[in-house]
Amino acid sequence: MSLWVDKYRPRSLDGLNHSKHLTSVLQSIAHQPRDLPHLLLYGPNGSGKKTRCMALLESIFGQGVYKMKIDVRQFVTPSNRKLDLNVVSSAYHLEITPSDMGINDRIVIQQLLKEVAQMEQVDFQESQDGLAHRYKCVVINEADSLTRDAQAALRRTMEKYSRNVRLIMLCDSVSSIISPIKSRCFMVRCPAPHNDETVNILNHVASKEKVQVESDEVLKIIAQESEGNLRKALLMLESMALCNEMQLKKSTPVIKPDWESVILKLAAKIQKEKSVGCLVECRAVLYDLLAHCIPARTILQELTFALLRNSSSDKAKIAILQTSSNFDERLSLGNKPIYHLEGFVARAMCSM
Amino acid sequence: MDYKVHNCASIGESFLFGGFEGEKESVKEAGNEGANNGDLEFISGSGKVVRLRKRVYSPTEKYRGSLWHEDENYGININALLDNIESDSGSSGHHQDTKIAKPYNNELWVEKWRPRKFIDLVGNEKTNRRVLRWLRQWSPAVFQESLPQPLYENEYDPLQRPAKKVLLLHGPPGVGKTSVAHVIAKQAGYSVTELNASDERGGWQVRDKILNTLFNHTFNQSPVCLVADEIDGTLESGFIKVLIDVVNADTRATRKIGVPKKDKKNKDKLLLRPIIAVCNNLYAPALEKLKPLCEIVPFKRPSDFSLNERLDTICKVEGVKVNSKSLKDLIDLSQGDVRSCVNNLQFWATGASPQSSSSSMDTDPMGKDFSSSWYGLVNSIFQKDPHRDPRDQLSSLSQKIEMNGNYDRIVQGCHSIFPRVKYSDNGVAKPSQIADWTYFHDLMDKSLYQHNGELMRYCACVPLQFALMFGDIANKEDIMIKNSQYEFNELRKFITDITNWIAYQTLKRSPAVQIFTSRQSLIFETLPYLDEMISADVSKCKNLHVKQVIYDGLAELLNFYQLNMVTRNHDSLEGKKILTIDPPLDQIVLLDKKRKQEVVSKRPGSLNFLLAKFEENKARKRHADQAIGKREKEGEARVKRSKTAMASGNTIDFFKTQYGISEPSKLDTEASTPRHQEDEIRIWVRYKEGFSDAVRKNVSWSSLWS
Repeated sequence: MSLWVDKYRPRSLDGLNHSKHLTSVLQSIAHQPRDLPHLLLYGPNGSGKKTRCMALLESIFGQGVYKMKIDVRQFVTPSNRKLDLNVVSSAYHLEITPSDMGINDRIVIQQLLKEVAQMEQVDFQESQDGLAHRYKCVVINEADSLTRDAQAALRRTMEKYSRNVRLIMLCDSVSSIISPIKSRCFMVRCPAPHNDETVNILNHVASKEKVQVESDEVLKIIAQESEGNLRKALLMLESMALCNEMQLKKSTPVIKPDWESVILKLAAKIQKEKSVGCLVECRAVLYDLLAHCIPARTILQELTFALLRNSSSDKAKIAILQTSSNFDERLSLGNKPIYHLEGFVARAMCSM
Repeated sequence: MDYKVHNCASIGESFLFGGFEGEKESVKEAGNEGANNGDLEFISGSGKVVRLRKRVYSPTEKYRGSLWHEDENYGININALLDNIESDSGSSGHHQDTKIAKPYNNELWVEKWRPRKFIDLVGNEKTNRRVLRWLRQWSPAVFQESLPQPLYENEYDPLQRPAKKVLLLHGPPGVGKTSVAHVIAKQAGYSVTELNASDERGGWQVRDKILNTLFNHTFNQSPVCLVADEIDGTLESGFIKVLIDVVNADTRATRKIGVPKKDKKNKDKLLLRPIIAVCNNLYAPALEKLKPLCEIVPFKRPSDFSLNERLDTICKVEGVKVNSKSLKDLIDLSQGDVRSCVNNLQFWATGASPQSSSSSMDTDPMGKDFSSSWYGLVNSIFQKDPHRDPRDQLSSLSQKIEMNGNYDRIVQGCHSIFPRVKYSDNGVAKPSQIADWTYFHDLMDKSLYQHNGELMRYCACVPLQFALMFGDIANKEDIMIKNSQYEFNELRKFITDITNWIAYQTLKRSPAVQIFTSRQSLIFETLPYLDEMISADVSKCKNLHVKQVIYDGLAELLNFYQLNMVTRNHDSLEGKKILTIDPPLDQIVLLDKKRKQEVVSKRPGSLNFLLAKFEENKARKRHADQAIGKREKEGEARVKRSKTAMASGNTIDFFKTQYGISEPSKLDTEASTPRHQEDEIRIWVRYKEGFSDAVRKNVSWSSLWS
């Protein structure tokens, strides 16, 4: 197998091991598979949206949903350009990721959904109550990055073709989903696991992988550091185990991704020195971060939290928050993140 | 003298200064004369019999003093040609005299004074010669002439064509690339077929058009030379693809020249006509694939002197009186653009009333918004002149900025150098203030995509704000503007490409696993930690069992993510090669300088260890394979005895493949696993693979069923 994250990923609803009440909701949905509503799963990164989605599909259609293949589909844009897109699909569902198609997502969604909707899915294998499921599921990853056009295109399609197609959309936050879509979906919030739950999962994995854990303390630290991101927690556990000869002690240093530690250092630098020279250094770091595909908003967010943690007075904290929210708006309105990030750094230097 | 002309004409079928019908006749005469001399005789591509006369070197004291060297004349008697030109220019002089009589006709001077002969060209003589030289190298293939020795460059081509079949001219607009291509092609005896941006060049039509011009025989006397103008547009990819196909087909055909033809399906045709391509920007993405196939000739702006000379001639003939100073200004302003020079000159001549042409000509309105470069502009924003009225200074600056129009570039430049200029400030108050203005710029600039750029005009005030806040008398020196935006974009593209590649590879291998990880979390979480795991230092580990477990885990990971270990040159070490992961994972995830150092200092060691371990595992596996192979050989003798078993095995095999019970590839892996039941009686099956039973090998009975 591969990484522990993937290795110990639950594949059925019974295997899900945090947020029990949510699991029971999903189970009740799976119990009456003919009435599967359009679903909108939302929740923070690493809280198990996709895992839940696949587990739900598994409980409806059986193991076949994990037998996936990739097709290259071709789409033609209105300007006669040809788009090649990889579509992952099984016999029961198919997946699309809007970020693969850029601004042409409307065309892709329209064509793909219509194609699916036109085909009647016939199931010869009798299920328990003798009814055949006749719809196909379309999973839309990162639904919040769908353009407005594409979402508008979905509205009618969702109702018109609901006989043959059911949508499952996954997104981090619902704020960029238009309300007509929200009202047509059954919204399921996937919360991040509690620290205790994370520790339990980590314990389970560690014992399976024969990692010697000195005390639960270190797992608690990992859970704390992962900030409710289960994927991150498991990756952290694995890399720490591999780097420390499969033994975890209380004193084992927590491994962080490089970009995070760079942002922490940046925050420290901003607070230590307030000069133009420092600003130039910060600019180089910011450019580097952006070039490594770290989104500007993530940088701003991490930087803000780091600054808040380091600053002592309440007044300074309020000032930082104010500036941060101000520049967050600019980031989302503008096109040139480097100006705004640097502006934030300069403003933060002034306000402290 | 007369004899010389004949001689030259019969050697080169290509008439320099073609279009002289009278001389064409003389070729035949010359040929007939020489027939009885026992000279060489062969048939040209158009079916004409051409006789070649052995060159008789007659003493040429007459031209000994001239500048022409023997190796520069491309096999043509230049001296005779020079005489020819002299007499010719005498006649064309008359022609021009008649033109003076009506100075204001409605023909554009640019067209009228387009160079028609090689000596008319104003540009760099050396470049022009390079073009001519390349074109002359086609002569053996096109005209069946022989060339003097130094022109042979490509000894491998049986047709003696130049090594690169396409000539690519590039340079700024107006320096005469198209003119050079036309003139030289004409001089070398070709008729020019031009394809430019005004022609339909997308899709399939263009393919027919090109193939028609290149491969079909025409009724014209002279062969065709294809001039493809302005090929660096974005819509030209179809056109360029055809060019590439033609050249590639030619290389294939060239390789087969000696080989007798077997099948008639072969469509590859020899390219027997030169292709000249012209573009402005050599680095346009569309040209990426064409470039390696081209002989690339850069065009520089012509020297001011030669341009001046040319303009002088024009002025004289057209009867315009311009003093040399304003002519010089014109040349300065045009920055080497010959076309715009001539255009402006005509404007002066036609539009200008007598008094303006006599007075010192004010070139300012003439300068078609000769925008100062954004680079200079950015620097001038920060340089305050103490002797000028600040108001006046600001307004002139604003005018310049608006004229330039490249607001985004200017603001970017300002933003990148403002921390390095001198200004008075309290802490970082001013940089934090300017952030509001850059935000304003961002919003206005974005209107380009939303409101058709209506708000773009407000962009001009942002650089002015920079000037107000950061302009200082102390800034005198120009500061180099580093184009960090470009580097940033390149790096970003590189990293996105690698991540996409990794994502795609893993998705292809096991979609059921990869779908759970989005691209975002791949960059954020998975790859950084993966990198961390791979670089784990296990060498100090005492417990051998744990060590083995870790190595096995790592091997699986590397295999899953399709990562290889390769030796590679690292930037920071000259010439020294180190072991790294390919694709370069470390370049995606590592940002910290210290950690980056580790890639060079620490990691190769642990990676080496890992690699050694892998090799060891592989060797062990191979050893096991060999042992099995030996055993199989022993078994072979036994198999030969029992032929009936073989036959039955074949039928079983047939059914098995029919029903997909066993895959042939499985057999190899099966063989490597050590077998346990050695004491049992073994049945051997002959396994035949492929349609014609080309591969035969013996396989054990048990492995067939497992």
